[in-house]
Parts: sequence; C-alpha cells; structure tokens
Amino acid sequence: MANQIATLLNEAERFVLRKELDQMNHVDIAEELEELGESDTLKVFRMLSKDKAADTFAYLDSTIQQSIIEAITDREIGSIIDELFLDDAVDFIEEMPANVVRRVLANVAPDKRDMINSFLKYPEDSTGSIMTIEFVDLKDEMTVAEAFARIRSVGPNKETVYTCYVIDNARKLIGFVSARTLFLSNHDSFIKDIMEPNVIFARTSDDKEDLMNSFRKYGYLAMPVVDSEDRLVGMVTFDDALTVQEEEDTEDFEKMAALKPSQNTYLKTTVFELSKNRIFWLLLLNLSVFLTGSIVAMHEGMLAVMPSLVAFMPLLMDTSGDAGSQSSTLVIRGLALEEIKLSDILKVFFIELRVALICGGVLAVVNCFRIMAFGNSFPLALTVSLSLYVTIILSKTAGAILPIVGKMVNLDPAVMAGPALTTIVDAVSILIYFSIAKAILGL
Amino acid sequence: MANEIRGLLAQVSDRTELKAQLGAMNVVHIAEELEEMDKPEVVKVIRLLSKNKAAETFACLDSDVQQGIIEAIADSEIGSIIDELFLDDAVDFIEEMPADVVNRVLANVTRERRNLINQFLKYPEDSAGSIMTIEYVELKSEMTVASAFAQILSTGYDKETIYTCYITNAAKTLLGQVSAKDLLLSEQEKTVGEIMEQNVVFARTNDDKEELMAIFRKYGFLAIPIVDSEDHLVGIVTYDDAFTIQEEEATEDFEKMAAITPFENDYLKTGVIQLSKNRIPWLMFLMIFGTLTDQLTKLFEDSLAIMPALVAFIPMLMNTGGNAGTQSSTLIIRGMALDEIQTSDIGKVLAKELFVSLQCGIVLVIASYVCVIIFGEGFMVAVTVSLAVLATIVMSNITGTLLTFGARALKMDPAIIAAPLLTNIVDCGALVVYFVLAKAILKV
Repeated sequence: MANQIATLLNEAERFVLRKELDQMNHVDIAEELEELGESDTLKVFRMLSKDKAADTFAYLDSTIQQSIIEAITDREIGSIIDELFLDDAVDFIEEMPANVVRRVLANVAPDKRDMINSFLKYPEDSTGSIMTIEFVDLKDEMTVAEAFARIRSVGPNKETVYTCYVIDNARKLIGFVSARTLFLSNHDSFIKDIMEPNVIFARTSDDKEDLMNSFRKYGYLAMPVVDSEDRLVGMVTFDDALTVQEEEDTEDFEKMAALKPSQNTYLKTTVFELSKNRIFWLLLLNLSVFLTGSIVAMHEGMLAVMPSLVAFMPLLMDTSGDAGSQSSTLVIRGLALEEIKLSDILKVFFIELRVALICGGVLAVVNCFRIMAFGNSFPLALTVSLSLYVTIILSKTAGAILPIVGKMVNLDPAVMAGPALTTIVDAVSILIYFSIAKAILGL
Repeated sequence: MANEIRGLLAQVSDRTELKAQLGAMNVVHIAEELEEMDKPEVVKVIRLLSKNKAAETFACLDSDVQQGIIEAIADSEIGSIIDELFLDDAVDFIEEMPADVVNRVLANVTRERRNLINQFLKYPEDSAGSIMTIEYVELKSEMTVASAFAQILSTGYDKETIYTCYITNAAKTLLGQVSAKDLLLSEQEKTVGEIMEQNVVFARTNDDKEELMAIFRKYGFLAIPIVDSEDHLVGIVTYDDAFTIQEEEATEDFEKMAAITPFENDYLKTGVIQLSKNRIPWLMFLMIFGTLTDQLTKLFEDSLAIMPALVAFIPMLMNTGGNAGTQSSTLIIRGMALDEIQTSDIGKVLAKELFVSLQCGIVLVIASYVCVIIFGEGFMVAVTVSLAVLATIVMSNITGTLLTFGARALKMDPAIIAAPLLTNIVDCGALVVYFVLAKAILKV
C-alpha cells in the first residue's frame, strides 16, 4: 500500500492533505506516520484537529510518541494529553522515561494529573491498570429524557455511550442500561424501572485474565469496574479486552516455547532483549538434560555390547516429547479458556490414559514392523516398541496432570508443562528404555 | 456454585412468579445452569421463558442440549424459537444438527427465513459470509437525523446492533456508516448524508475470518459491514463474534504447533477416539520421519563403539536444538498470525536470529563445557560437545526461521509446518554436526 500522506506531503499539497487527513481513519494515519521521518511526522501531526491528533497519538508507537513530545511546546503537550482518554494517557506515560513523564505531568490539568498518578499505582495485570474513567453514569431517579440530556452533554468525551451505568448517591453501582433500551423506552419512564439490576462487574484488583473470561462469556460491549467498596470507578471496553486476550495468548505461546514473555513486537525487540528472554530457559533445560546424559553414561557397558541401542534413543525421546506436548497443550488451552477446571483432574487423567493406550498401541505396532524392516532382530524391535508404549503413556498422563497441578499450586500451567515436561519425559524415557532392554535382551 | 434454577423450580410453585424470577436472570447464566439439568427440566424451563429470552438462551446452549430441546418440543414451538434467533445463531445451530433435525427445523420456520438459512449455509466455512448476520440497521443518506431515529425505533428491536448504522443507495451499495453516538449528538434536522463517515472499512463475503479479525484488532470497531462481489451490503459481523474468532484461531494455532489436527469441540466434550484420531497421524508421521535419525546414528556406530562416552551427550544436543528452534519459530509464527511480521521481513528476521543464536550459543557453550568437564570427560570431548552446541543452536534458529517463512511463501500454514517438523529436522542436523565434529577433533 502506498503511503498517501507521504505522497501528498511531497507534492506540497498542504490543502489537499489537510482535507484528506480529515477524512482518514486515525488508525490509518498512525500507521502511515510511523513510516515518515521525524520532521514530517511532526508537520503532519500539527495539521490534525485537536481531537484527531489525540486519537492518532494514542495509536502511535511509544518511540514516535516520545519524539513528538520532545519536539512540541509545553502548551501543545497539555492539549494533546488532556484530550486523550485516561487509559491511553496512562499507557503512554508508562512507556516514557522519567524526564518526559515529568514534563508531561507538569503540563496537564491538575485533576488529570491526579487521576494519572492514581492509575499508575494499580498493579500491572490488574483490571485497574487497563480501565478507563470515561464512562457515562446515570442516577436511578432520572427519567429517560434526562438521561439523554446527560448523554448529549457528556457523551462527546466518553469512550462509549452505548452502555450507561446507574449509580446511587454513594456512587455504588446498582445497574446498567443500554442505549438501545433508552432509545426504545418512553421518554418519561424512570431509569430505575428500565435498568438491568443484574449487573456483571469486575473489581480493580481482579486479574486481567478473569476480566477476559467475563468478556468472553457474556459478550458485553463494556464491563464496569468497582473498587473494594463497590463504588463505580471505571470501565473496560471490548476493544481493550480484545487486546488483552491477544496478549494473554501470546504470553502462553511464549511460555510454552520456553521463552520469557516480552511486551514488544518481535521486529521492535532488540537482539539483546530477545537473547535475554531465551537464555534462561535454554540454560536451565540444557543443564537438566545432563541428567539424561548421566543415565546414559551409567549404561555405557550395555551400549558397548549392543551399540544399535543408541540408534533408537532419539526416536524415543522425540516421540514421547511430541505425545506429551499434545496432551499438555490441550489441557493448558482448556484451563486458559476455563473449559477445564481444577476439579476435572481425574477426568482428564483417565481421558489421557485411554488416548495414550490407543495412540501408543498403534505407534508401537507400526514401529515394531518399521524397525524389523530395517533388518533388526525381533527382540530389539520389541524392546524399542515396548519402551515407546510405556513412555507415551507416561508422557501423555504427565503432560495432562502437570499443568493442572501447576495451577493448583499457583504456578503458571504454560511454564510447567511446556519446558519442564520435555526434560522430565526425556530422562524417564531413557531410563525405561534401558530397563526394558536389560530385561528382554538380557544385557 | 449451586444451581439457582433448580432451587427456583423446587421452591416456587406459582407459574407467574417462576416466570418473573427467570425473566430477571441473565441468559448466559440460564444457559449455563440448564446444561447441568435433565432434559425434561430443561424443556420445562425453556417453555417458561419469554419468546425472546428463550431464543437468546437457546443460542448460548451447547449443540447436544439444543438438539435435546428440539427433539422434545412441538413443531410450532420450534418455529417460534428459530424465527426469533439472530440469523447467524440460527445458522450456527443448524450446522451442528443431524439431517433429520435440520429437516424438521427448516419445515417449521417461515419461508423467507428458510431461504436465508439455506443461502447462508452455502458460504464456505471460515468465510466472513458464514459468520455474518443480516440484522443491521440500514439508513438512506437523504434521511434526517430525526427520521433515522424513527427508523431505528421501529426496527431496532430485532437488530443485533443499532450502534453502527449503514447507509446504502437504492441499489444497496454501501455508501457510508454513522454511529448512534454521532446521531445522538447531532442536530435533528441534519441529514444522515452530512454526518456519515464515508471512509468505511468493510470486508467481503468470501474473505477469510482471519482477515476480519485483523480489521477488528486494528480499528477496534463495534461491527464490520460485509459486502458481496458487487459492493452491495449483505450483512455485518459484530465485536462479540471477534472474541470467538480470536479464541478459535489461537486454539487452532496451539493445536497445530503441538502436532494435533484442530477440532471444534471443548476438550472434555470430545470423545477419546476422536482425541486419538486427531493425534495419531502426526505422531506416526513424525515417528516415520525419525527413521532418518536412526539411520544417521547407525552410520556413526563405529565412532560410538570406540568412544561410548559420546552417546551421553546426544540427548542434550538434541534437546537444546529443539528448544532453540521452537523459541524462534514460535515468535515468528505468532508475529505472522498478528500481522506484525510480513514475508518481506525475512532478511531482518534472519539477521536477528543469527545474532540471537550466537549470543545464546556462547553462554550455553560455556555451561556445556563446564558440565562435560564435571562429568569427568577430557578436554577434547568438552571442546567437541561445546562446539556442537554452538553449531546446533545457530542451525536450529536459522532452520526455524527459514521453515516458517518457507511455509508462508508456499501459502501453507506456518504453525503446522514449522513447529512439529522442526524438532525432527533439527535433531538430524544436530547429530550430523556432532558426529562430524567428533570425527574431526577426536579422530574416532
């Protein structure tokens, strides 16, 4: 896709550009700005209306946000930040170095500054840290007509007007009413008669994952957030929830691949940072496999008598690793989506046991023929196949149980099952292999 | 959690009171509790619900419970539930039912509804057409804001969303969109054409749902309009579907990367045979592929016979290679799924992976060296193993990168190709590197 803004800028069509910018979606503007140079970015940014400038700013990368802030005047800073939704402002400030933060905070309205400061205090990953305060609140004794008047007066600055929250005089959340209900109701009915008192809410201290599960379950447009005294303090909208879900999924992918989760996108992460996120697990796993190595070393005498045993070690380790991660992946995903609960541990165990008996059986038989087809003796083929069967059963059941046990003792299931599983399964499969070889081949 | 509905059924005998109590409950909760109850109870509760609420609850139920209800109720009741469902929910439901149930359902809905359902069932699986719904608000550009409101008021009850309205001309070509917020905040006598947004982001009926997801993710829209090949507006997809798509896509990727054929149902609701069927082909394929590793090891049997200590480090090499390769491919696959990495970025990614593997490799080389020495092996063995570790890591990261990009370039799914296959390829590579180095350094 050609960069529309760059083209117009080069042709010095300022008037046309300004008109074009007015028509463009702010997400697209942000995307094109990221490809421009710093001075061009600034030039275009200043052509935007106040509203659009703030919307666009929220979608820019933090490095570009920083360079804009460093280039513009204090007054301009104030007007952009005041115009941002609070959650976007907080996201932005969290990414900035201390001197930029100070300059930004010095130039926003005092009440906004206080809000930002109090939001920065919510723990990372808590609902409080991602909520916004731009919601519409109504009182239960209002009429529909009064509610519309309130929406018209405060609406332009709200993140959504489609779900309005009803509070009492102590700001306690007592219900919600959708714009649809308001539209379809009589203008003189009271809010308390048309509101839905059965309101699903989150608390500021709730983990983002719990919030996500509610969104997925109820399909709401927005979720109200209350503090420890049940007072309405914020709201999270569905677009933020989508981002959270995406981040949670990415984190799980990373943990299962033995990576420390990182915040940035791949291409924007430095090589050093990428290495840092990988080295810990690589090292730990590398060292732990020496355990498997020492099991092999202990049986060196056997290998000297029958060197062909070595050839099937990789097969055993790989197949049992694959079988184990099949089970653990399904269980981890099931846990994340709340399809599997902790109390299902026995059910899951028996399902995996039966699956392992079927999968292992089929594989063992095929494997036996395969090994004999390559000119090996039946006892050797039997040894390998039997070991394969036993290790598949072990790795599948361990793969299913480990994530659930991990969750029970508050360890991350994804970490427990991904990296830790392979190591355990490897050592055990080699041990089983040598024991069976000893028994069958009489070594 | 106790079952609230069961409690109600036991305590409240007055029908009107029961209806009122059930009416106050959230449909998602009702559906959740119904799934724990017996069929006669479920049917009883569904009959107690208002027409509207019955349909909404029905849409939230599992397909086996849905089937149970349909089989137990009268033809006229079927008609009233299915006619009340949003079209996308009705289509979802019908897709899961066996033929005899489908026939009975279609025989009992209104004719136009039947035609629509049949038409929707023809859209290819995973296309935008197959998940869209037709209950959107359509306005004309010459309408005033006041008449737009009148239109919303008269038709809004049956629409999936009234918050984004679409403007079409007489030929149903999509001209623009306007949000309920803008309508609400504009003067009554302005025309819709003046306040509408002309720059509409839309999708086509045959677009893949992944493309839809990319739009939702990028713009955070409440709904996306869907047009046919002639730019006529034919439906919308709303944000709640976006949650479902995202969840399904991520689950599919998880499954593919773990060498499982993706399946639709919840884990606990899938039978053991089905679960096994989804795994065996992959395990089998990978095992047969492993023949290559066997044969490679065999080639070097002589070296191993002379120096059996070398065998002890094979598992370590193979694992480290597999782990490093998976780290790279996972990041790249995820980056591609989220559109953060394009095919044209291959040079950048390769360079990155090369440097990352060198950095990680050096740390691991030192660790492995120390371990081998502690193991009681000589200096030369330690050097051989350490060098093999470095070479393996570099090779794995590069292979992980190339495989992922290769799959993408061949229009295959990177998640399937790169993750399960990678380990096996990397294993072979690690063994060859190890044995070649051993031959060269240790002269075995």
